[in-house]
Formats: sequence, C-alpha cells, structure tokens
Amino acid sequence: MMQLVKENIEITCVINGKSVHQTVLSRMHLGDFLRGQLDLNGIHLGCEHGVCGACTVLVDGLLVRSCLMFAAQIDGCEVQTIEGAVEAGAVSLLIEAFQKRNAAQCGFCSPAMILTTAEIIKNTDRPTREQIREAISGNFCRCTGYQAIVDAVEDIFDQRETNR
Amino acid sequence: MKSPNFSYCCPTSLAEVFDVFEYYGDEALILAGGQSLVPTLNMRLSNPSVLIDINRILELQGIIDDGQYVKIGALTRHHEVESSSMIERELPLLHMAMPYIAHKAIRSRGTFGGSLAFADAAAEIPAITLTSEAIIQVHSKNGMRQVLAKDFFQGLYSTALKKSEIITSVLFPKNNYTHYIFKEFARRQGDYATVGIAITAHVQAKVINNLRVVYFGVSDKPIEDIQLARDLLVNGLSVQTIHQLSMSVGNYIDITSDIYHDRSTKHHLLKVIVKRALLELLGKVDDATS
Repeated sequence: MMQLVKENIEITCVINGKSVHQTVLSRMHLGDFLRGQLDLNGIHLGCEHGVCGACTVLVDGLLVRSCLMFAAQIDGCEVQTIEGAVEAGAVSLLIEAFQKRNAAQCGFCSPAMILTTAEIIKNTDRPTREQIREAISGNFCRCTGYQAIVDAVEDIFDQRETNR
Repeated sequence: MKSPNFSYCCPTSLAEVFDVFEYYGDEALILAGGQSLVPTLNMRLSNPSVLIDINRILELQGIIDDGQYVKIGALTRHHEVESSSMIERELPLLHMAMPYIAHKAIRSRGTFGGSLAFADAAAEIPAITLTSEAIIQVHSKNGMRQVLAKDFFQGLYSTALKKSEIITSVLFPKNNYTHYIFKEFARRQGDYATVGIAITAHVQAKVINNLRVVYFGVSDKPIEDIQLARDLLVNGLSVQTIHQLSMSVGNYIDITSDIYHDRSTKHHLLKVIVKRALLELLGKVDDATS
C-alpha cells in the first residue's frame, strides 16, 4: 500500500537557482510555501483560487498559479519567482518600462504582471495591443486600467526595433 | 482560502492508484492539473480525506498517432496540445479551440483528462470531444472500458465515470472532414464561454455530405444539434437558409441560464453565433471552390 502523508513531506527543488531542501504540509500551496518558508514575498496572494494571477511564478519554465499547486508537488522541479528573475537580470528593461509608463501603481499585481509580460516578450515577435491584452487577461490590475501596462510592453518592442 | 487538511500520495503507477481507491473509496480524489480541483479545495467546496496526485504517472502522458486514432493521454497538459504540430495537422478543430481555454498559466498545468472529468458545461474540451466523436478510455482495478463522448457527459459536472475509475486517454478518430469552425462568446479572453459552437463538415463541390454541430455553455452539458445538421443537409448551405435556420435554433433545446446570463440572453446569443459560424463555413466553402 502506498504511503499517505499529511506533514513532514520532504521536497528537494531548485528555487531561483539555489537548491532547496524543506519539509512541507500536504495542504500548503506553493505560494504560501514560497512566502512563508522561503521569505519570497514578491509572490502576492490575492484570490487564492486561480483568478487574479497575482501569485504567478515559473515552474520548470512555465507560468503557473502558485495558489493552484501544492508545495509537495514541486519536488524535483525548478521554480523561478520575481526575485530570481530580477537577480538574473531577465526583467530589468521591463521594470524600467513599467516605471516610465507608470504601469505599476499600488504594485500588487506588478511582480506577476512582469513575469507574465516577460513571457510575451520572449516568445513573440511584435504583438498587437490586442494580443498583449489577451496575454495579460489572466492577471488582474485594479489601478492602471491596463493601458499603461500595454504601453510599457509595447515600449520594449519599440526599443527592440530601434536597436536592430 | 486555504485547502482543508488531506492525506497526500504521489503514485507512479495506475496499480497504486487503484490500491488507494480500494482502501479509501469515495474519500479519495484524483489530483491531476488541479486547476479546477484546487480552487474548490481552497474555497472549501470539497473536502476529500485523500488526494491521489497522478502527475508522476508517465503512462498517462503524451500524444500518439496510431494511424486510425490520435490518442491523447489524460495527463497531457493543455499547452502541450496547443503547441502540438500533430494536433494542428490531424485534429484542426481541437487545435482551434485550445487558445480559448483559460489563460496561459492555467494551460501550463490543466490536463486533458481533468477537463473531461470535471465536465464543465461551458468548457471547450468536452465540446470538441463530442464534436469529434472521440472515445474516452477509462480504467479501474477491473480493467479498461471505452465510453463514447456522447454517452460520457451526463449533466452539470456529471459524467459516466464510476467510483474508483480514472480517465487514462482519449481516442480521436482521424476522419476526413474538410471544414472546421470554432467560435465562442466570452466577456473576457479566457473566461468560460457564454455560448460556444463547434462544427465539423465534409463538403464536396459545395454539397454538404456530413455535418456535426455542437453547442457549449448553453445547457447542462455540451449538446449536439442533430436537427440543424439535418436541415442543412436537406436544404444546403446558402445565405438564405442560414438566416432562416438560425432564427429557429434553440427552440428545441433546454437552454439553462448561468450567473451572468439568463435563458433569453443565451438563446439570442446562440442564434447569433450559429448564424456567424454558418456564414463563416459558407465563406470557406465558397473560397475553396472559387
């Protein structure tokens, strides 16, 4: 019979490039784990049922909602949070563009918004405003009305074209 | 908004899943992508004592073309189906529908089998499975059985899955339809459809030989409109018949409201989407023959 566990589940994973070994509770979601046990407070918990997008992180290179995964499930996985992306210098231009365009007001959605828009920048040649809006449709922002965020993302593509 | 307490296990084989089911019965739930289950846990709408995490069962993953069928493993993630060139080539209708499923971060985790087992009436994958006459393969301790998509969806969030059964894969017949249409209305990109439509058709020299029309988000499960398909076969596809037939669409369907839209709104939107979908089909047929 399989072993069933509720607590002291051991996980080993790579978080922001560093190997991490921790024990977790079965019911603890990834967002709570990253914030509560690893002090990675760039992950923001808004709705905790997968709607607001504020808790988005990268697991094995894919955007995921950290409130909809359990910490126990990341054993053997690689996780990147906004802290890791900043350290790696992967989002510095975006952060600059967000500042310039006033795309972060209260800042609650910003870390996840930056991780999400970084994916568009990585994977798309020149998206339309409509496509940028579609790509961020899973991330709620209650300040900007999104206009400024779309502007900031467009700026990156504009810069890219001028630099060519 | 935290999940209740549960015991967790992470088997690597189906045999282990059935062992846990045997011991815990109804108290055990399968955790696949978790994109619908975990919200219900966090909101305390469900309270299983055991979660069986199937994410490490390798035999449930992947897409295979066996010549007759395209077989999609139950644990295949939406983003894998979305980006599969084989799916784009062999199952164009499914390929068209994938970007409509929620958002990128949800498609990273959500699974094909999970979407079928959850059976949301407004979801895309159940509707495409029905339109494509797919076969759902289900395993239990006693072996495998196959369920046709038309028998699988039984009502709101309810399916032909029995206790201690698990969806293992879905077989999509490789048929020779010539045209595919997929449309949905949603208030926001990625939301569940207010109304949606999927059509497959075989058209030759402007004559429809075969046609299947399925609606979703309209009733308590995806539903096939056999009457409309028959009327189109009899009357042929023309602007006039499309306008005429779309007027009476839905009169014979048990349309159900959702929290944002009442029956009459849904009925109206259904007529609009049917008209648009059929006009698009007509346009494609004309393009192909001109």
